Amino acid sequence: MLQDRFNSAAAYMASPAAKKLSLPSSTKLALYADYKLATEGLCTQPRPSLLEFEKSAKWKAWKETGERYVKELSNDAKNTTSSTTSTNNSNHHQLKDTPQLTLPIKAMISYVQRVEEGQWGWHFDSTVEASQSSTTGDHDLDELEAYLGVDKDELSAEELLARPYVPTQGEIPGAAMTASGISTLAFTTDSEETGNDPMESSKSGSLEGLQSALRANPDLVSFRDDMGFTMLHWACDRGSLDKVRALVETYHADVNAQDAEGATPLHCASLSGWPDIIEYLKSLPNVDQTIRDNSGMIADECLED
Amino acid sequence: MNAPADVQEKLRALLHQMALNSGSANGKEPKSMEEHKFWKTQPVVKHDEVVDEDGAIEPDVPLDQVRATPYPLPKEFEWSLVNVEDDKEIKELYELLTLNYVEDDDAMFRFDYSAEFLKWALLPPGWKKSWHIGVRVASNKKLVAFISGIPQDVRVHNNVKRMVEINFLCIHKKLRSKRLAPVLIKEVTRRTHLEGIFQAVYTAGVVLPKPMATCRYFHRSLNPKKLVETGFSQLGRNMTMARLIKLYKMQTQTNTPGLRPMEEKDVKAVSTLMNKYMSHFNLAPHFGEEDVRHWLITRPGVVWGYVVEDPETKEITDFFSFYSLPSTVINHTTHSTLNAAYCFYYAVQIPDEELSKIADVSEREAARDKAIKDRLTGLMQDALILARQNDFDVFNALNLMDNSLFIDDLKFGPGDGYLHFYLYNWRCREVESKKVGLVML
Repeated sequence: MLQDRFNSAAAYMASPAAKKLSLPSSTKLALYADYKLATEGLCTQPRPSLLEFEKSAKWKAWKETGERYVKELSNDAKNTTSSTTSTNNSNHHQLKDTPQLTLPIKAMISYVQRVEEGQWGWHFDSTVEASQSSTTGDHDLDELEAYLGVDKDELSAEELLARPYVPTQGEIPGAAMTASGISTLAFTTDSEETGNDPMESSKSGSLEGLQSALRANPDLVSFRDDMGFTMLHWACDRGSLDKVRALVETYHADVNAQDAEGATPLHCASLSGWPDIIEYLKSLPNVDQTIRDNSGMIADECLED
Repeated sequence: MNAPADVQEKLRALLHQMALNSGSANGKEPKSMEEHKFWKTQPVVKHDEVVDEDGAIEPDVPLDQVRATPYPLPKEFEWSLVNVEDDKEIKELYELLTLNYVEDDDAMFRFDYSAEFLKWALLPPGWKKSWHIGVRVASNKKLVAFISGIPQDVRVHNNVKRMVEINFLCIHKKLRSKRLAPVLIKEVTRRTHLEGIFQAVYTAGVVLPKPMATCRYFHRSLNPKKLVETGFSQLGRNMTMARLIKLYKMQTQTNTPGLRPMEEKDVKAVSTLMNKYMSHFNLAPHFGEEDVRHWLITRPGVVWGYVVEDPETKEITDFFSFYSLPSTVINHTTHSTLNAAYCFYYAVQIPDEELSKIADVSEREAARDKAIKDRLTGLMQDALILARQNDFDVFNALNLMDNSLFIDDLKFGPGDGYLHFYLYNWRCREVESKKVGLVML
């Protein structure tokens, strides 16, 4: 139960071990305020003399934290009561009367969280320290209720559902924790591939990228890499009809160029199985469909099934 | 004067911790902190904990001390069990998952478990309706969140425990600010306790406290062109599509003599074969005949199960299976679905008698691997061929069980995804990926 955890944390913070921690005064004041709010409620004492620095600071922390919590609690209450009331439907099990968070519980939660997150050496052992008064048998129900109760989201579920989805920055797929993220093939870049590749724009990227590369250096259209591939071979292999058309129609690429293995652009398109490119190339008057590669095959015999 | 490196490291950690704490004071803590806060309250192994003896973290809860009523939800939501046998309700569940379930890091793919698959996954022998837990918006009854459990006997090292396998935790994308996941987890835990089960097993792609095993995904391209087109894989700069296609080209017919679809009459033999094979692993399910019948006999479009019947002795010597888990290709002009087959359970015969003569453990393991490698590789080659025949684009496997024996030879490539295995309320020594024998859907 929360009360047990709070008692245990408070006892620890009063122990000699905790006294040695030399915590910053802001942390001590925050703990003090939560402790007072949890055990005595809001501050009703008169303001101490301003010359009593320590007393003043404590009084201020207690007073102001209390006021802030009250405000937050009333905002939460407004949010929950203004949400749509449901029609009763016997098919769906429904829970009513979600318990409201109270000031002492809110302060206790805050106190326990501070002590937990400070990692000052406090550990709670529920089997030893749980009080006999625990009635629900559920030690963290209070915290769970509070966890839900302090939702600052002012939009109702219906309003949220009606809005377009905008992923939040750095959203962790925590709402789907039980499955793996989908794995895709890891891409390892070859270390020797990092240099400038004059053919790059024919392999990947946009049509505009190819056009600007060729405007900058029109000779690229007849350049051959170490496989004997021209840009047109690459565009036919990778399957970009737009690039094939531009290379043929604007830059007059050689449609019958043969690579080191004797393959023409039509062979490439056939091997990769791009029907739209095959059809386009075959429609060109100067394409020679009878060219055989070094293994003796014409393009049609290479068709990917 | 410079502080020693470890002091500096501690300081950095402390500063980081303080930054997170000050963030939590104004209620705007990062999501990871929120999750961390929740898991801190749960009986799971902590990140810095080293386990050398297995056992429950918390004692079993007597039935009269289990909370009798569902945990409270924020007012605008209500609990609603999903009737998986009902066509209308399974469709609602399918729609929730297909639009809101797991995606890859770059949001190119999202799991698209079919309705038939969900029925198979959620209605195994001993399934419980009370473990198909939905959350609806109270006003309009729209299904917006789900979590499920199925019962399964699981052996971890030497302990066999009745556990619940938790899966399909999903919250509508637009409602992720509502922090429903912890309540769903607590509610399924409560309902598990009501059935007298106190341990759970679950997997996730994310790191939570604390993985008891971690496996990596491997992918075997079956339709390389489509995989490149959809962005599932990428072509190296000097790799041609034509060469890629050639590299992954396969025979069209299977090779193993006696290979045939598993039938009802094989259930007993497969159960024996499987449990014997599974004894090698440190995290493994125990399948009864009912389980084998449910999980391993072919269901069109869902799961494929094959056995090898020795043509002479008629003995069942091996089996393998794979299941279908397609992904939606998000915002693609020509492809809408990626058809992925996932390696499921399999078993081959182990020459136990000969192996038992080898005294040294590592020598014995090496001899075991050597004895089964070729047979298993041949079987999985046939699995790939059958998957291709059934129009799958890719065949996925984790590096668990004996998968490492065939993934290189059969041209699997490493994936960018990992799968972490977790146990709830069971502290155990960590398990190497090759000693994991549990496959979760």
